[in-house]
Amino acid sequence: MPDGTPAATPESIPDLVRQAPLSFVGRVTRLGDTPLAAVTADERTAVVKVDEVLHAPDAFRRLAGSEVTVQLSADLDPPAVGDTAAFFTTGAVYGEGLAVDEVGRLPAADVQPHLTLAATTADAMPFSAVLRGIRDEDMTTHAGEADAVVVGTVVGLEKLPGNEDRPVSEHDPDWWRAQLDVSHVESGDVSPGRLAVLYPNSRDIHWYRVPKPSPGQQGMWILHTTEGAEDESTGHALRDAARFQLLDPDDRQPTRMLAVLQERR
Amino acid sequence: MPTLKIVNITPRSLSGDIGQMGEPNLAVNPENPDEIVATAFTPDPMGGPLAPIYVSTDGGDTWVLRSVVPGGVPGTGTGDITVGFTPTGGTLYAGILNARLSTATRLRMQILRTPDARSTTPMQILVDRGGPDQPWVVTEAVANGNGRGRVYVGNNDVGLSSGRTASVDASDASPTAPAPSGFVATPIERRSTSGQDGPPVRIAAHPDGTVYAAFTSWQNRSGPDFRNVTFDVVVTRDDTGGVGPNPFRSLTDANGIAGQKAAAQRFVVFDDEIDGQRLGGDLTIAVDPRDSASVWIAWCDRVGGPAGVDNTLHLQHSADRGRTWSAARTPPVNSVLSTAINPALAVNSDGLVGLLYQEFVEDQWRTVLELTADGWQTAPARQVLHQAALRPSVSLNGKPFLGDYIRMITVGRDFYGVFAGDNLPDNANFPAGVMYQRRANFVTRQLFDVDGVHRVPTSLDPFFFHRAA
Repeated sequence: MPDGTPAATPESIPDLVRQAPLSFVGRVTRLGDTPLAAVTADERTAVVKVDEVLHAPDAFRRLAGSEVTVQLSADLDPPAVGDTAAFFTTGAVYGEGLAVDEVGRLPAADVQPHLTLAATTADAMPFSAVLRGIRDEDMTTHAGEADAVVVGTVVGLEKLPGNEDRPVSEHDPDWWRAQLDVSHVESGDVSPGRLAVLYPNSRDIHWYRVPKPSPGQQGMWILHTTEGAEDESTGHALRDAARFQLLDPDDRQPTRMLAVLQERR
Repeated sequence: MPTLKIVNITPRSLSGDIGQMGEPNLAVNPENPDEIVATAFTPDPMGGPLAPIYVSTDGGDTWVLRSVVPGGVPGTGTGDITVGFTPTGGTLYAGILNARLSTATRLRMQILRTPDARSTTPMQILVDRGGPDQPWVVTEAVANGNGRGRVYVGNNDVGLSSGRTASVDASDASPTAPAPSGFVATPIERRSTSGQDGPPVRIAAHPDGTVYAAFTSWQNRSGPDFRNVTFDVVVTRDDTGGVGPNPFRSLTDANGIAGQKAAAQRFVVFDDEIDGQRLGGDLTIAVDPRDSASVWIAWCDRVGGPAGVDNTLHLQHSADRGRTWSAARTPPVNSVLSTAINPALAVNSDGLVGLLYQEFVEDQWRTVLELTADGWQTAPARQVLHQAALRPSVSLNGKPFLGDYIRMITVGRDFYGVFAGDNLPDNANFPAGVMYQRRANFVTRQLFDVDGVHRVPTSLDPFFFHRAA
């Protein structure tokens, strides 16, 4: 079985995974063609039958057995019909089938160890371990950019009152204040003990992904200095209400991630 | 004989999707009604920075997603988004809240454009302004301007310190003019407010140059978090397409103030909920394409006051260009809609008036289309498009959110619309029938992944409909 080996210098798998949300091992069945009416095929358009998904968003984990239209990278030598390779791609068109843009390619043999290992683990996908490494790396970067990182337990929750002088919208953050009992300070000018933290309690589209502390919840909290002198929706000097706030979906991590953070720092 | 087609627009390649795709919007190319664009709170399927639009080129039978909208974030796509095609040339405009650039203290509205809705090139940013909420795009071939039509973007610019926040950004349509492509922002609230107007600013434009802009003028806020709101329903009008230095001053009240109150001293608890659906911003307006003096408006409010639990839909008509208004769709011929949200009005070229809305009845959300040729003096033709409890198995957003609006428009004699609803494949939920592109089994009432084997939990999908005359 020939490999669709690219001419360009292959990048590392983690680098490729970071660039490409979808990768798979597949065999080129046609060139210059596509079954998708919404895609115009040219000489760099390939139809690839997916043998195995290496990593993917949840909605694309079960592509194995289906045909995907791949717009081949202009930076790589095109494969031949019948070649099998590991394709690293980004989404392009989502219709009756899937069309993707190629951002990288590796010989199938290069990813075989991941396929073999995946068969012996509980990992959902062959590149699950690679994704975990990327996620840990991102969390470490995120924590490094934060103003404080603490481990603590939620011991109090209260809503900040509204203010009639300030306009409201359906996208208001609905600021609440959580009291954390901080047991460990990993970084930042914070002392163990009580620490007030603001968070948007709104379930609006702008805010629902930001952590909503719950009573007794433990975690590693990645904190940011409270933004703005005054909040338009409440009229409160938010900095007076709390020095720190939660703003990012990744601002609460399981406590066990502290060890990951310390190891990577 | 009219036909009605309803389509779940989630493509087959996204059969594994379990997102909550609420708050849909719709544009139909009037020169080529087979070309249709829909939007929703849909993220890029692979987590990219551009949010997708849904595109159909076959009249809504099949759809593809193309990620071309800036400001997308994982999980939600961009923020609020509405769309409109220019009357000629097929240029697509969008008004969005950029989810990446909006902050805790300031929303960020952008007006976008692409000359080709089928393109994979990101849409061009024409206007980028902090403050406005809920941009609402309307296009029309009005008699004024450059002949290619006009583009209107209603918005609630809470960044304005005056408290008169209802605004319209307007421009001549152009496929290529550089940013800001002629867009000029005009506050249309002329009275004092409690500090702001309500989120929806809706527009109805007529080819003769008459343009109506409606909003809810917030007059008082009290109660918990000051969310007990007393408001007037105000209609403004411009008779020359909104062109000129002082637009939307053609309709004045008895005191000479621009804007006529279609209703006064209404009440709503802003951000209150019915079955998890947010209340306080329901408003729609439509003009008869045969007669620009004939205009319809609908809104929802809480008749029961602060202790009430209703969200009652009201509908009024003006036959004199907005000067006077009279109640339409009244009992006993018509039932009172006391738990309704998301009204959407449209009038076709025959003068047939359509009202689309969603109501919560018997623990189900029903999306209903009413059509009347006599202004609801007799019972309208009423069709339930979809009915289902909102109980997706996977909820990414607390309670699944249908959205703050749906949309219906007309092209000639045909009605086109879009709404969000639970996607359980159950024929009982679709009395008028439905077509799914994603893998679904209506016998076992199950959704399946793209492999056709693994089951997928139910979620919230956008649904398109087309009522052909």
